[in-house]
Amino acid sequence: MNAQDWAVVFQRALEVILLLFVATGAVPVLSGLYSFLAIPFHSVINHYSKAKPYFPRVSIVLPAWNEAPVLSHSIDRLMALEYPIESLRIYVVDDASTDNTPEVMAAKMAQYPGNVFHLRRDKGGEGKAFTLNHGIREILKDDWMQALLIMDADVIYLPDSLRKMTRHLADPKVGAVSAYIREGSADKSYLTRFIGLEYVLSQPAARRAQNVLGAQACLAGGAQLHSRENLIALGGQIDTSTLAEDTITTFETQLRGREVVFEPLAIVLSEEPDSIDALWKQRLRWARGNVTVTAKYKHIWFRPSKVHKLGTISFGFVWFSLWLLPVAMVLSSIGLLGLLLMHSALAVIVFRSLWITAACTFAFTLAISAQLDGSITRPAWREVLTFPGIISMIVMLTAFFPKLVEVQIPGLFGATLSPSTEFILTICIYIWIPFSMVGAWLARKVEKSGVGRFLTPTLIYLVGYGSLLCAITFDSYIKELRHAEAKWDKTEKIGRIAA
Amino acid sequence: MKHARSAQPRHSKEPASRLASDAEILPMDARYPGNDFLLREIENDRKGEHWLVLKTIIAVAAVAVLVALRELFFS
Repeated sequence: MNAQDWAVVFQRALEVILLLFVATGAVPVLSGLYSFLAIPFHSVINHYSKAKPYFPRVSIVLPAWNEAPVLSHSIDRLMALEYPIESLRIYVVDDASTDNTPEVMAAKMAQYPGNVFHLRRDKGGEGKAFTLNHGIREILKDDWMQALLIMDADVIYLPDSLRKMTRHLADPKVGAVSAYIREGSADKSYLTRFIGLEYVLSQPAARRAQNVLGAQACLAGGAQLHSRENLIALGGQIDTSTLAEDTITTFETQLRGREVVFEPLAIVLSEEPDSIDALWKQRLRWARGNVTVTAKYKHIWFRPSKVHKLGTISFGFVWFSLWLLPVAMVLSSIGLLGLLLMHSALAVIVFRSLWITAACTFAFTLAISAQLDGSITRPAWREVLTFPGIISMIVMLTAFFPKLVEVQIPGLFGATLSPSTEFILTICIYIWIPFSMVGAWLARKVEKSGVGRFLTPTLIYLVGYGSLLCAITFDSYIKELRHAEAKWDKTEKIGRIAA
Repeated sequence: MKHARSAQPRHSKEPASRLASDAEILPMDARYPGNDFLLREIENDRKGEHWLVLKTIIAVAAVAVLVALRELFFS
Protein backbone atom coordinates (compact mmCIF):
# COMPACT_ATOMS: atom_id res chain seq x y z
CA MET A 1 0.00 0.00 0.00
CA ASN A 2 1.19 3.50 -0.77
CA ALA A 3 0.82 6.60 1.39
CA GLN A 4 -2.52 7.49 -0.19
CA ASP A 5 -3.96 4.07 0.61
CA TRP A 6 -2.78 4.39 4.21
CA ALA A 7 -4.45 7.78 4.41
CA VAL A 8 -7.75 6.25 3.24
CA VAL A 9 -7.44 3.42 5.77
CA PHE A 10 -6.65 5.92 8.53
CA GLN A 11 -9.61 8.07 7.52
CA ARG A 12 -11.98 5.06 7.56
CA ALA A 13 -10.67 3.91 10.95
CA LEU A 14 -11.11 7.41 12.35
CA GLU A 15 -14.63 7.52 10.93
CA VAL A 16 -15.50 4.24 12.68
CA ILE A 17 -14.11 5.52 16.00
CA LEU A 18 -16.07 8.76 15.68
CA LEU A 19 -19.20 6.79 14.81
CA LEU A 20 -18.73 4.76 17.99
CA PHE A 21 -18.42 8.01 19.94
CA VAL A 22 -21.71 9.21 18.43
CA ALA A 23 -23.31 5.85 19.25
CA THR A 24 -22.57 6.36 22.97
CA GLY A 25 -25.05 9.24 22.81
CA ALA A 26 -27.74 6.84 21.64
CA VAL A 27 -27.26 4.48 24.61
CA PRO A 28 -29.00 6.62 27.27
CA VAL A 29 -31.75 7.49 24.81
CA LEU A 30 -32.43 3.84 24.02
CA SER A 31 -32.15 2.94 27.70
CA GLY A 32 -34.80 5.54 28.57
CA LEU A 33 -37.03 4.25 25.80
CA TYR A 34 -36.58 0.65 26.96
CA SER A 35 -37.49 1.58 30.55
CA PHE A 36 -40.55 3.57 29.62
CA LEU A 37 -41.80 0.91 27.23
CA ALA A 38 -41.94 -1.42 30.26
CA ILE A 39 -44.45 0.86 32.03
CA PRO A 40 -47.65 -0.49 30.39
CA PHE A 41 -46.64 -4.00 31.48
CA HIS A 42 -47.18 -2.83 35.07
CA SER A 43 -50.86 -3.34 34.31
CA VAL A 44 -50.24 -7.09 34.57
CA ILE A 45 -46.81 -7.44 36.17
CA ASN A 46 -47.33 -5.83 39.56
CA HIS A 47 -47.46 -6.90 43.19
CA TYR A 48 -51.16 -6.24 43.84
CA SER A 49 -52.09 -9.88 43.30
CA LYS A 50 -49.89 -10.80 46.28
CA ALA A 51 -50.89 -7.83 48.46
CA LYS A 52 -53.28 -8.46 51.36
CA PRO A 53 -54.80 -6.32 54.12
CA TYR A 54 -52.04 -6.31 56.70
CA PHE A 55 -51.39 -3.99 59.65
CA PRO A 56 -48.07 -4.90 61.26
CA ARG A 57 -46.88 -2.97 64.31
CA VAL A 58 -44.93 -0.13 62.69
CA SER A 59 -42.14 1.83 64.30
CA ILE A 60 -41.45 5.07 62.51
CA VAL A 61 -37.93 6.36 62.84
CA LEU A 62 -37.63 10.04 62.16
CA PRO A 63 -34.17 11.61 62.17
CA ALA A 64 -34.24 15.26 63.16
CA TRP A 65 -31.61 17.96 63.39
CA ASN A 66 -32.96 21.41 64.16
CA GLU A 67 -36.31 20.47 62.64
CA ALA A 68 -38.44 22.08 65.35
CA PRO A 69 -40.40 24.24 62.84
CA VAL A 70 -41.68 21.15 61.02
CA LEU A 71 -41.54 18.45 63.69
CA SER A 72 -44.78 19.16 65.52
CA HIS A 73 -46.82 19.21 62.33
CA SER A 74 -45.10 16.05 61.04
CA ILE A 75 -45.95 14.12 64.20
CA ASP A 76 -49.57 15.31 64.12
CA ARG A 77 -49.87 14.15 60.52
CA LEU A 78 -48.35 10.77 61.35
CA MET A 79 -50.72 10.27 64.25
CA ALA A 80 -53.60 11.06 61.90
CA LEU A 81 -52.64 8.28 59.48
CA GLU A 82 -55.41 5.82 58.61
CA TYR A 83 -53.70 3.11 60.61
CA PRO A 84 -54.54 1.39 63.93
CA ILE A 85 -53.17 3.73 66.55
CA GLU A 86 -52.06 0.91 68.86
CA SER A 87 -49.84 -0.34 66.01
CA LEU A 88 -47.97 2.94 65.55
CA ARG A 89 -44.94 4.23 67.36
CA ILE A 90 -42.92 7.28 66.36
CA TYR A 91 -39.30 7.55 67.42
CA VAL A 92 -37.82 10.99 66.81
CA VAL A 93 -34.03 10.67 66.83
CA ASP A 94 -32.77 14.10 67.76
CA ASP A 95 -29.29 14.50 66.27
CA ALA A 96 -28.10 16.84 69.05
CA SER A 97 -30.33 19.66 67.83
CA THR A 98 -29.53 23.15 69.07
CA ASP A 99 -33.02 24.53 68.57
CA ASN A 100 -36.11 23.88 70.72
CA THR A 101 -36.59 20.28 69.49
CA PRO A 102 -36.50 18.87 73.09
CA GLU A 103 -39.33 21.22 74.15
CA VAL A 104 -41.39 20.34 71.08
CA MET A 105 -40.85 16.64 71.74
CA ALA A 106 -41.79 16.93 75.42
CA ALA A 107 -45.11 18.45 74.37
CA LYS A 108 -45.72 15.77 71.73
CA MET A 109 -44.88 12.90 74.10
CA ALA A 110 -47.40 14.32 76.56
CA GLN A 111 -49.98 14.65 73.79
CA TYR A 112 -49.47 11.10 72.44
CA PRO A 113 -48.30 8.94 75.40
CA GLY A 114 -47.15 5.49 74.34
CA ASN A 115 -46.99 6.49 70.69
CA VAL A 116 -44.30 9.16 70.49
CA PHE A 117 -40.74 8.77 71.82
CA HIS A 118 -37.78 11.13 71.90
CA LEU A 119 -34.28 9.70 71.49
CA ARG A 120 -31.48 12.20 71.75
CA ARG A 121 -27.91 11.81 70.52
CA ASP A 122 -25.24 13.65 72.46
CA LYS A 123 -22.99 13.97 69.41
CA GLY A 124 -24.60 14.95 66.13
CA GLY A 125 -23.69 15.95 62.59
CA GLU A 126 -22.31 12.58 61.50
CA GLY A 127 -24.99 12.02 58.89
CA LYS A 128 -28.47 10.61 58.52
CA ALA A 129 -27.38 6.96 58.63
CA PHE A 130 -25.76 7.36 62.07
CA THR A 131 -28.87 9.07 63.38
CA LEU A 132 -31.12 6.33 61.98
CA ASN A 133 -28.96 3.62 63.49
CA HIS A 134 -29.26 5.19 66.93
CA GLY A 135 -33.03 4.87 66.65
CA ILE A 136 -32.98 1.40 65.08
CA ARG A 137 -30.79 0.03 67.90
CA GLU A 138 -33.34 1.24 70.46
CA ILE A 139 -36.28 -0.10 68.47
CA LEU A 140 -34.73 -3.55 68.03
CA LYS A 141 -34.18 -3.93 71.80
CA ASP A 142 -37.64 -5.49 72.10
CA ASP A 143 -39.80 -7.45 69.66
CA TRP A 144 -42.69 -4.98 69.40
CA MET A 145 -41.72 -3.67 65.96
CA GLN A 146 -42.84 -5.81 63.00
CA ALA A 147 -42.05 -3.21 60.35
CA LEU A 148 -39.85 -0.14 60.32
CA LEU A 149 -40.67 3.02 58.43
CA ILE A 150 -37.70 5.27 57.72
CA MET A 151 -38.68 8.83 56.90
CA ASP A 152 -37.56 12.45 56.98
CA ALA A 153 -38.86 14.99 59.45
CA ASP A 154 -40.19 17.32 56.80
CA VAL A 155 -42.23 14.92 54.66
CA ILE A 156 -45.99 14.48 54.94
CA TYR A 157 -47.65 11.12 54.42
CA LEU A 158 -51.10 11.21 52.87
CA PRO A 159 -53.56 9.47 55.24
CA ASP A 160 -53.83 6.17 53.35
CA SER A 161 -50.16 5.94 52.36
CA LEU A 162 -48.86 3.73 55.18
CA ARG A 163 -51.55 1.08 54.85
CA LYS A 164 -50.97 1.06 51.07
CA MET A 165 -47.34 0.23 51.81
CA THR A 166 -47.87 -2.37 54.53
CA ARG A 167 -50.22 -4.47 52.36
CA HIS A 168 -47.20 -5.53 50.26
CA LEU A 169 -45.38 -6.81 53.35
CA ALA A 170 -48.12 -9.46 53.64
CA ASP A 171 -45.99 -11.27 51.07
CA PRO A 172 -43.03 -12.68 53.04
CA LYS A 173 -40.82 -12.44 49.95
CA VAL A 174 -41.01 -8.65 50.12
CA GLY A 175 -38.28 -7.08 52.23
CA ALA A 176 -39.02 -3.41 51.67
CA VAL A 177 -41.60 -1.09 50.13
CA SER A 178 -41.05 2.41 48.83
CA ALA A 179 -43.63 5.16 48.34
CA TYR A 180 -43.93 7.92 45.76
CA ILE A 181 -42.24 11.08 47.00
CA ARG A 182 -44.15 13.93 45.42
CA GLU A 183 -42.82 17.50 45.42
CA GLY A 184 -45.22 19.28 47.75
CA SER A 185 -44.09 22.88 48.27
CA ALA A 186 -46.97 25.33 48.64
CA ASP A 187 -45.07 28.19 47.04
CA LYS A 188 -44.06 26.64 43.73
CA SER A 189 -41.16 28.12 41.79
CA TYR A 190 -39.80 27.21 38.36
CA LEU A 191 -37.27 24.96 40.13
CA THR A 192 -39.74 23.08 42.34
CA ARG A 193 -41.95 22.55 39.26
CA PHE A 194 -38.95 21.05 37.42
CA ILE A 195 -38.16 18.87 40.45
CA GLY A 196 -41.82 17.81 40.66
CA LEU A 197 -41.72 16.74 37.03
CA GLU A 198 -38.39 14.97 37.51
CA TYR A 199 -39.94 13.03 40.42
CA VAL A 200 -42.86 11.98 38.21
CA LEU A 201 -40.40 10.75 35.58
CA SER A 202 -38.24 8.94 38.10
CA GLN A 203 -40.93 7.44 40.36
CA PRO A 204 -44.45 6.70 39.09
CA ALA A 205 -42.89 6.24 35.66
CA ALA A 206 -39.39 4.76 36.03
CA ARG A 207 -39.97 2.84 39.27
CA ARG A 208 -43.08 1.22 37.87
CA ALA A 209 -40.79 0.03 35.05
CA GLN A 210 -38.33 -1.24 37.69
CA ASN A 211 -41.19 -3.15 39.35
CA VAL A 212 -41.77 -4.82 35.99
CA LEU A 213 -38.07 -5.51 35.38
CA GLY A 214 -37.77 -6.98 38.89
CA ALA A 215 -35.04 -4.77 40.36
CA GLN A 216 -35.37 -1.44 42.14
CA ALA A 217 -32.45 0.98 42.05
CA CYS A 218 -33.26 2.94 45.19
CA LEU A 219 -35.78 3.13 48.00
CA ALA A 220 -36.94 6.68 48.64
CA GLY A 221 -34.95 8.03 51.58
CA GLY A 222 -37.99 9.65 53.14
CA ALA A 223 -40.41 6.76 52.64
CA GLN A 224 -39.03 3.25 53.00
CA LEU A 225 -40.77 0.51 54.90
CA HIS A 226 -38.80 -2.58 55.94
CA SER A 227 -40.00 -5.82 57.43
CA ARG A 228 -38.33 -6.70 60.73
CA GLU A 229 -36.87 -9.83 59.09
CA ASN A 230 -35.28 -7.74 56.36
CA LEU A 231 -33.86 -5.22 58.79
CA ILE A 232 -32.30 -7.97 60.88
CA ALA A 233 -30.94 -9.64 57.73
CA LEU A 234 -29.27 -6.31 56.92
CA GLY A 235 -27.48 -6.50 60.25
CA GLY A 236 -29.98 -4.34 62.11
CA GLN A 237 -28.43 -1.16 60.84
CA ILE A 238 -28.06 1.15 57.88
CA ASP A 239 -24.76 1.48 56.01
CA THR A 240 -22.72 4.41 57.31
CA SER A 241 -19.70 4.15 55.03
CA THR A 242 -21.10 6.14 52.10
CA LEU A 243 -23.40 9.00 51.18
CA ALA A 244 -25.77 6.55 49.47
CA GLU A 245 -27.20 4.60 52.39
CA ASP A 246 -30.64 4.35 50.73
CA THR A 247 -29.25 2.76 47.58
CA ILE A 248 -27.04 0.40 49.54
CA THR A 249 -30.00 -0.70 51.70
CA THR A 250 -31.99 -1.29 48.50
CA PHE A 251 -29.21 -3.34 46.91
CA GLU A 252 -28.47 -5.36 50.05
CA THR A 253 -32.17 -6.22 50.45
CA GLN A 254 -32.35 -7.56 46.90
CA LEU A 255 -28.97 -9.30 47.06
CA ARG A 256 -30.38 -11.36 49.94
CA GLY A 257 -33.20 -12.54 47.70
CA ARG A 258 -35.93 -10.26 49.07
CA GLU A 259 -38.08 -8.16 46.78
CA VAL A 260 -38.31 -4.38 46.88
CA VAL A 261 -41.68 -3.03 45.77
CA PHE A 262 -42.50 0.49 44.65
CA GLU A 263 -46.09 1.48 45.55
CA PRO A 264 -47.09 4.38 43.27
CA LEU A 265 -50.34 5.05 45.13
CA ALA A 266 -48.72 5.58 48.54
CA ILE A 267 -48.01 9.29 48.27
CA VAL A 268 -45.64 11.26 50.46
CA LEU A 269 -45.22 15.01 50.06
CA SER A 270 -41.79 16.49 50.46
CA GLU A 271 -40.17 19.88 50.45
CA GLU A 272 -37.47 20.18 47.81
CA PRO A 273 -34.68 22.73 47.33
CA ASP A 274 -35.75 26.12 46.07
CA SER A 275 -32.35 27.23 44.82
CA ILE A 276 -29.91 25.78 42.32
CA ASP A 277 -27.18 25.89 44.94
CA ALA A 278 -29.16 23.80 47.45
CA LEU A 279 -30.24 21.39 44.71
CA TRP A 280 -26.63 21.10 43.51
CA LYS A 281 -25.42 20.17 47.02
CA GLN A 282 -28.21 17.61 47.50
CA ARG A 283 -27.75 15.98 44.10
CA LEU A 284 -23.97 16.05 44.31
CA ARG A 285 -24.30 13.99 47.48
CA TRP A 286 -26.56 11.53 45.64
CA ALA A 287 -24.33 11.41 42.56
CA ARG A 288 -21.18 10.82 44.63
CA GLY A 289 -23.07 8.12 46.47
CA ASN A 290 -23.84 6.46 43.14
CA VAL A 291 -20.15 6.50 42.22
CA THR A 292 -19.45 4.63 45.46
CA VAL A 293 -22.30 2.18 44.83
CA THR A 294 -21.10 1.46 41.30
CA ALA A 295 -17.63 0.61 42.60
CA LYS A 296 -18.85 -1.29 45.68
CA TYR A 297 -21.04 -3.63 43.61
CA LYS A 298 -18.64 -4.10 40.72
CA HIS A 299 -19.01 -7.88 41.11
CA ILE A 300 -22.75 -7.85 40.30
CA TRP A 301 -23.01 -5.75 37.14
CA PHE A 302 -24.07 -7.68 34.03
CA ARG A 303 -23.85 -10.98 35.91
CA PRO A 304 -27.34 -12.52 36.02
CA SER A 305 -28.16 -14.35 39.23
CA LYS A 306 -30.93 -16.67 40.36
CA VAL A 307 -31.22 -14.75 43.64
CA HIS A 308 -31.74 -11.19 42.39
CA LYS A 309 -32.18 -9.19 39.21
CA LEU A 310 -29.61 -6.48 39.87
CA GLY A 311 -27.19 -8.33 37.61
CA THR A 312 -29.45 -8.46 34.58
CA ILE A 313 -28.30 -6.86 31.35
CA SER A 314 -31.33 -4.56 31.36
CA PHE A 315 -30.73 -3.26 34.90
CA GLY A 316 -27.01 -2.68 34.20
CA PHE A 317 -27.91 -0.95 30.95
CA VAL A 318 -30.30 1.43 32.74
CA TRP A 319 -27.95 2.05 35.70
CA PHE A 320 -24.84 2.84 33.64
CA SER A 321 -26.79 4.88 31.09
CA LEU A 322 -27.78 7.29 33.83
CA TRP A 323 -24.49 7.22 35.65
CA LEU A 324 -22.40 7.81 32.52
CA LEU A 325 -24.83 10.18 30.79
CA PRO A 326 -22.50 13.22 30.85
CA VAL A 327 -19.67 11.12 29.37
CA ALA A 328 -21.99 9.89 26.63
CA MET A 329 -23.07 13.45 25.85
CA VAL A 330 -19.49 14.69 25.52
CA LEU A 331 -18.32 11.70 23.45
CA SER A 332 -21.31 11.99 21.17
CA SER A 333 -20.59 15.66 20.46
CA ILE A 334 -16.91 14.92 19.82
CA GLY A 335 -17.96 12.22 17.36
CA LEU A 336 -20.38 14.48 15.51
CA LEU A 337 -17.90 17.36 15.37
CA GLY A 338 -15.12 15.06 14.15
CA LEU A 339 -17.29 13.64 11.37
CA LEU A 340 -18.31 17.16 10.34
CA LEU A 341 -14.72 18.40 10.22
CA MET A 342 -13.76 15.35 8.15
CA HIS A 343 -16.51 16.41 5.73
CA SER A 344 -17.97 12.95 6.16
CA ALA A 345 -21.36 12.40 4.55
CA LEU A 346 -22.20 10.38 7.66
CA ALA A 347 -22.23 13.47 9.90
CA VAL A 348 -25.67 14.68 8.83
CA ILE A 349 -27.14 11.16 8.72
CA VAL A 350 -26.00 10.19 12.22
CA PHE A 351 -26.89 13.60 13.65
CA ARG A 352 -30.43 13.31 12.34
CA SER A 353 -30.77 9.65 13.38
CA LEU A 354 -29.54 10.41 16.90
CA TRP A 355 -31.58 13.53 17.49
CA ILE A 356 -34.75 12.21 15.85
CA THR A 357 -34.53 9.17 18.14
CA ALA A 358 -33.92 11.51 21.08
CA ALA A 359 -36.85 13.73 20.08
CA CYS A 360 -39.23 10.76 19.76
CA THR A 361 -38.03 9.34 23.08
CA PHE A 362 -38.42 12.68 24.86
CA ALA A 363 -41.89 13.14 23.39
CA PHE A 364 -42.90 9.63 24.43
CA THR A 365 -41.48 9.78 27.97
CA LEU A 366 -42.88 13.23 28.67
CA ALA A 367 -46.27 12.36 27.16
CA ILE A 368 -46.64 9.25 29.30
CA SER A 369 -45.30 10.92 32.46
CA ALA A 370 -47.58 13.93 32.03
CA GLN A 371 -50.53 11.57 32.40
CA LEU A 372 -49.24 9.77 35.49
CA ASP A 373 -49.65 12.62 37.96
CA GLY A 374 -51.73 15.46 36.53
CA SER A 375 -51.68 17.37 39.82
CA ILE A 376 -47.97 17.94 39.28
CA THR A 377 -47.69 18.05 35.49
CA ARG A 378 -50.69 20.28 34.69
CA PRO A 379 -49.38 23.34 36.59
CA ALA A 380 -45.89 22.52 35.25
CA TRP A 381 -46.83 22.49 31.55
CA ARG A 382 -44.06 25.02 30.73
CA GLU A 383 -41.51 22.78 32.43
CA VAL A 384 -42.91 19.70 30.63
CA LEU A 385 -42.44 21.45 27.27
CA THR A 386 -38.97 22.78 28.10
CA PHE A 387 -37.58 19.90 30.19
CA PRO A 388 -34.76 19.15 27.69
CA GLY A 389 -34.12 22.92 27.37
CA ILE A 390 -35.36 25.41 24.78
CA ILE A 391 -32.10 25.28 22.81
CA SER A 392 -32.09 21.47 22.78
CA MET A 393 -35.69 21.62 21.56
CA ILE A 394 -34.50 23.80 18.66
CA VAL A 395 -31.74 21.29 17.94
CA MET A 396 -34.35 18.52 17.90
CA LEU A 397 -36.51 20.59 15.56
CA THR A 398 -33.49 21.06 13.29
CA ALA A 399 -33.05 17.30 13.10
CA PHE A 400 -36.75 16.52 12.87
CA PHE A 401 -37.83 19.28 10.49
CA PRO A 402 -34.62 20.31 8.71
CA LYS A 403 -36.38 22.16 5.90
CA LEU A 404 -38.42 24.18 8.38
CA VAL A 405 -35.43 25.43 10.36
CA GLU A 406 -32.86 25.74 7.57
CA VAL A 407 -35.02 27.04 4.71
CA GLN A 408 -38.60 27.96 5.58
CA ILE A 409 -38.10 30.03 8.77
CA PRO A 410 -35.12 32.02 7.33
CA GLY A 411 -37.22 32.39 4.16
CA LEU A 412 -39.94 34.16 6.16
CA PHE A 413 -37.43 36.95 6.76
CA GLY A 414 -36.20 36.87 3.17
CA ALA A 415 -32.90 35.29 4.23
CA THR A 416 -30.99 32.28 2.99
CA LEU A 417 -28.15 30.63 4.86
CA SER A 418 -24.78 30.85 3.14
CA PRO A 419 -22.68 27.63 3.22
CA SER A 420 -20.26 29.15 5.75
CA THR A 421 -23.10 30.34 8.03
CA GLU A 422 -24.70 26.93 7.77
CA PHE A 423 -21.37 25.26 8.65
CA ILE A 424 -20.87 27.44 11.73
CA LEU A 425 -24.49 26.87 12.81
CA THR A 426 -24.04 23.12 12.39
CA ILE A 427 -20.92 23.16 14.56
CA CYS A 428 -22.84 25.07 17.25
CA ILE A 429 -25.68 22.53 17.10
CA TYR A 430 -23.34 19.52 17.27
CA ILE A 431 -21.42 20.78 20.28
CA TRP A 432 -24.40 22.22 22.10
CA ILE A 433 -24.95 19.40 24.57
CA PRO A 434 -21.62 19.70 26.46
CA PHE A 435 -22.05 23.47 26.45
CA SER A 436 -25.51 23.11 27.95
CA MET A 437 -23.80 21.70 31.06
CA VAL A 438 -21.61 24.80 31.18
CA GLY A 439 -24.79 26.88 30.98
CA ALA A 440 -26.22 24.99 33.96
CA TRP A 441 -23.00 25.56 35.92
CA LEU A 442 -23.21 29.26 35.05
CA ALA A 443 -26.82 29.36 36.29
CA ARG A 444 -25.59 28.28 39.72
CA LYS A 445 -22.71 30.76 39.68
CA VAL A 446 -24.91 33.79 38.95
CA GLU A 447 -27.77 32.74 41.22
CA LYS A 448 -26.68 34.86 44.17
CA SER A 449 -25.66 37.86 42.08
CA GLY A 450 -27.88 40.86 41.39
CA VAL A 451 -29.04 39.47 38.06
CA GLY A 452 -29.46 35.90 39.37
CA ARG A 453 -33.15 36.22 40.09
CA PHE A 454 -33.83 36.72 36.40
CA LEU A 455 -30.80 35.13 34.73
CA THR A 456 -30.73 31.79 36.58
CA PRO A 457 -34.28 30.66 35.65
CA THR A 458 -33.72 31.96 32.10
CA LEU A 459 -30.54 29.90 31.79
CA ILE A 460 -32.22 26.78 33.18
CA TYR A 461 -35.13 27.09 30.75
CA LEU A 462 -32.62 27.58 27.91
CA VAL A 463 -30.19 24.78 28.75
CA GLY A 464 -32.71 22.41 30.31
CA TYR A 465 -33.17 20.78 33.71
CA GLY A 466 -31.68 17.54 32.36
CA SER A 467 -28.44 19.38 31.57
CA LEU A 468 -28.39 20.74 35.11
CA LEU A 469 -28.54 17.18 36.49
CA CYS A 470 -25.82 16.09 34.04
CA ALA A 471 -23.60 18.98 35.13
CA ILE A 472 -24.01 17.87 38.75
CA THR A 473 -23.12 14.28 37.83
CA PHE A 474 -20.08 15.60 35.96
CA ASP A 475 -19.11 17.55 39.08
CA SER A 476 -19.37 14.31 41.07
CA TYR A 477 -16.78 12.68 38.75
CA ILE A 478 -14.42 15.59 39.38
CA LYS A 479 -14.96 15.49 43.15
CA GLU A 480 -14.36 11.73 43.21
CA LEU A 481 -11.22 12.00 41.07
CA ARG A 482 -9.89 14.69 43.41
CA HIS A 483 -10.90 12.58 46.42
CA ALA A 484 -12.72 15.62 47.75
CA GLU A 485 -14.13 15.30 51.26
CA ALA A 486 -17.51 13.56 51.21
CA LYS A 487 -19.49 15.35 53.87
CA TRP A 488 -23.12 15.23 54.86
CA ASP A 489 -24.55 18.53 53.54
CA LYS A 490 -28.03 18.64 54.95
CA THR A 491 -30.67 20.31 52.77
CA GLU A 492 -32.35 23.10 54.70
CA LYS A 493 -36.09 22.60 55.20
CA ILE A 494 -38.43 25.28 56.46
CA GLY A 495 -41.84 23.62 56.30
CA ARG A 496 -43.16 24.79 52.92
CA ILE A 497 -45.27 21.72 52.20
CA ALA A 498 -48.98 22.16 51.48
CA ALA A 499 -50.99 19.07 52.34
CA MET B 1 -59.06 -5.57 69.90
CA LYS B 2 -60.02 -3.45 66.91
CA HIS B 3 -56.79 -4.17 65.12
CA ALA B 4 -57.22 -7.91 65.30
CA ARG B 5 -60.80 -7.68 64.14
CA SER B 6 -60.11 -5.52 61.10
CA ALA B 7 -56.85 -6.92 59.81
CA GLN B 8 -56.23 -10.24 58.15
CA PRO B 9 -53.41 -12.49 59.32
CA ARG B 10 -50.31 -12.01 57.22
CA HIS B 11 -50.66 -14.96 54.89
CA SER B 12 -54.42 -15.43 54.75
CA LYS B 13 -56.12 -15.71 51.36
CA GLU B 14 -59.48 -14.13 50.61
CA PRO B 15 -61.10 -15.33 47.40
CA ALA B 16 -62.09 -12.51 45.06
CA SER B 17 -65.62 -13.93 44.85
CA ARG B 18 -66.15 -13.11 48.53
CA LEU B 19 -65.53 -9.41 48.03
CA ALA B 20 -68.42 -7.27 49.17
CA SER B 21 -70.07 -4.78 46.87
CA ASP B 22 -69.01 -1.11 46.94
CA ALA B 23 -72.15 -0.16 48.88
CA GLU B 24 -71.28 -2.52 51.73
CA ILE B 25 -67.69 -1.51 52.21
CA LEU B 26 -67.64 2.16 53.15
CA PRO B 27 -65.40 2.23 56.23
CA MET B 28 -66.97 3.51 59.43
CA ASP B 29 -63.57 4.24 60.88
CA ALA B 30 -60.67 5.15 58.61
CA ARG B 31 -58.20 3.57 61.04
CA TYR B 32 -60.04 0.26 60.95
CA PRO B 33 -61.59 0.09 57.50
CA GLY B 34 -62.21 -3.65 57.56
CA ASN B 35 -61.09 -6.44 55.32
CA ASP B 36 -63.76 -6.05 52.67
CA PHE B 37 -62.88 -2.43 52.10
CA LEU B 38 -59.17 -3.17 51.98
CA LEU B 39 -59.57 -6.09 49.58
CA ARG B 40 -61.73 -3.95 47.32
CA GLU B 41 -59.14 -1.16 47.49
CA ILE B 42 -56.37 -3.53 46.43
CA GLU B 43 -58.53 -4.86 43.61
CA ASN B 44 -59.39 -1.33 42.45
CA ASP B 45 -55.76 -0.29 42.57
CA ARG B 46 -54.79 -3.37 40.57
CA LYS B 47 -57.45 -2.65 37.96
CA GLY B 48 -56.44 1.03 37.92
CA GLU B 49 -53.04 0.01 36.58
CA HIS B 50 -54.78 -1.12 33.38
CA TRP B 51 -55.06 2.56 32.43
CA LEU B 52 -51.31 2.50 31.85
CA VAL B 53 -51.93 0.74 28.56
CA LEU B 54 -54.19 3.54 27.30
CA LYS B 55 -51.76 6.18 28.56
CA THR B 56 -48.95 4.49 26.66
CA ILE B 57 -51.06 4.36 23.50
CA ILE B 58 -51.73 8.10 23.82
CA ALA B 59 -48.00 8.75 24.25
CA VAL B 60 -47.17 6.62 21.21
CA ALA B 61 -49.87 8.46 19.26
CA ALA B 62 -48.26 11.79 20.17
CA VAL B 63 -44.97 10.56 18.71
CA ALA B 64 -46.78 9.21 15.63
CA VAL B 65 -48.31 12.66 15.01
CA LEU B 66 -44.83 14.22 15.11
CA VAL B 67 -43.49 11.67 12.64
CA ALA B 68 -46.51 12.11 10.36
CA LEU B 69 -46.04 15.90 10.39
CA ARG B 70 -42.42 15.45 9.39
CA GLU B 71 -43.22 13.04 6.60
CA LEU B 72 -46.17 14.99 5.23
CA PHE B 73 -44.91 18.56 5.39
CA PHE B 74 -41.19 18.76 6.08
CA SER B 75 -39.44 15.78 4.53
